Amino acid sequence: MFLCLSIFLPWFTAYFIICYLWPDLKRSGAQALMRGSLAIGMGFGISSCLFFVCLLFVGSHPDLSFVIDLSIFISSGCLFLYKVRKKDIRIGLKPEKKVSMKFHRPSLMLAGFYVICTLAITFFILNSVNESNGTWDAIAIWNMRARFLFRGGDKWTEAFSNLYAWSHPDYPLLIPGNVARIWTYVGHETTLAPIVLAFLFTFATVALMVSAIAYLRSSSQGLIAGMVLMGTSFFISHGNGQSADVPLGYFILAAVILFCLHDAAAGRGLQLLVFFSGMMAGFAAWTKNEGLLFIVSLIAARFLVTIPRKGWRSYREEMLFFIAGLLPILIIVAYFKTQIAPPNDLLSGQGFNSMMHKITDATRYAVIGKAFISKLLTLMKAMIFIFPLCLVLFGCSHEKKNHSGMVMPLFVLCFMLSGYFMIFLITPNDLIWHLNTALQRLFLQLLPVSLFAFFLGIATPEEVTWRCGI
Amino acid sequence: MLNLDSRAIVKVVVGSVFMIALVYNAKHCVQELQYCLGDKTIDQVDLLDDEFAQLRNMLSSYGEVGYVSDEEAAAKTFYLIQYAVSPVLVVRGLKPVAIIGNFEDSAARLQFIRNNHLMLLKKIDANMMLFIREAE
Repeated sequence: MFLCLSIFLPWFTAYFIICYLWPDLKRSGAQALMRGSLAIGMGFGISSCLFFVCLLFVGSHPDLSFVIDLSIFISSGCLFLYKVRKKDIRIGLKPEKKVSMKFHRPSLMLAGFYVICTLAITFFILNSVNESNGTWDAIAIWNMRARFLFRGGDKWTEAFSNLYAWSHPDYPLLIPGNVARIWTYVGHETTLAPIVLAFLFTFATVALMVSAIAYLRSSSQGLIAGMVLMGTSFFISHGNGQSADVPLGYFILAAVILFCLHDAAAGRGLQLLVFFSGMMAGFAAWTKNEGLLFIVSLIAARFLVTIPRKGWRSYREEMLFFIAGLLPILIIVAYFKTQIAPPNDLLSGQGFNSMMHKITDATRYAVIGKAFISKLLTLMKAMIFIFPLCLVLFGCSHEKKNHSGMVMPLFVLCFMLSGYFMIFLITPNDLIWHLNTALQRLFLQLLPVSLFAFFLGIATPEEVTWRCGI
Repeated sequence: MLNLDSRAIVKVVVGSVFMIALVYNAKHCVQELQYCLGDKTIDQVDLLDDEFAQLRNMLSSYGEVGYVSDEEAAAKTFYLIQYAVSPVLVVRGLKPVAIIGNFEDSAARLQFIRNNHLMLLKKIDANMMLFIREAE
């Protein structure tokens, strides 16, 4: 009962807020799915921030978290009901009319998608039964931090001692905060908390990508993208590992999708989506340190995309809304980083000379580049062949807006990969060890947004059918 | 784009995606099911959690707990003990008053107790024991 409450209160609260602020012109399944999956990230993001703020100012207080969540839920529910009663339908997001294209047997593809989805869910559940404590990272970092927050009482800040350097105490608290919050609701520790969170973030990523591509391109394209994501060997197996990389991948995807939706509704004043994107980017930084790199990458990518097309004024206006969504969460992250967490192990403790020596060492570039390529091929396994196959058989979309929509996620990807490359370049750890232990997870964070960019840019089955004149 | 029948093109792509995703997920489901139905060993995390559940409150009164071991996989056990006893801090070495000794070799354990003036407080399992330093 309390486990359900701890999950559904923040989820529904965020759903009500999204529905209130983002009214729709035309109700569609894709839009409902998109809102529902966006609400998962937003709900758990907000609730973990509130839990942390409560810990800071009031200390560990079991009932307080519930009272705050419930009051926000009731307030947002009232606003939502008010909106529903008023039938206040203002502005929509539906992209401009599409060329009339029919695709044969979409129901067969949908059935295929459901088969894959069922198998992926079964795999997730069976693996969670077999390894309920999650992977090593989940135990040594995320769930251990949750134990400190839950069990620590007034001494919860001891979790961030440098004595735990092996456990990366500088990592932010979206996941541990939520696990500890759920335990607080339930009254005891249960492995169900991290399992349910991992499940929701894993399948919300799938749902978000399917719905966004269905919305921006076509349903069948969304279903193909969803099957590719679930069929990529390391996505589900890491999702059920309870680590923070899948949630980070979700937030990166969500922030990028919200900008793409904003661009698709060009000139219709939906700056609110940019505000939501700012929030999602903030939650990315509250999930893992790489989220900070993502914020910089996203701002830079928007700069490169918006300035040539719309000019400074548009970029400035866009950034105002973005920062308005980002700032409250970034303040929490900054407070955590400067007041509670110890310095990051990768940046602290190495001097300028040591860094310069590594940067000028050509062999390190070769080793990292080789590792990037070989790891990508190893991780994607057979699914890697789908990309050239799609490019050769489907080709790129002929609609210009799809090309421009794809550019921004590609810029984000380039900046993120460059950032990861730089981190490996200057790492104080043994380079080979660091590449072997971290690269897989870094690729996992970028997998959803890479697939999103790819399926945004290539032709849909409808376009292929239409082109061939059938 | 190749000049093929559109239906064939879509079938090839969707069919390939479906088959790869199906094989991967089905293979993992079978593996997990076999593991689930087979003879499972007790998870070391759960084992240590159970063993330290009663001790946690007592350990918290010492503030910090030391950890000494002759085990080969000592690092992993150390991390798992830290996980089990959180928020009690576990540090390597003999500095704290309470010390968890994890010795596969019983002779080494005896030598360790004698050399460091320790008193057995609780036997945790066959190899692992909780000691406190005797007042000098």
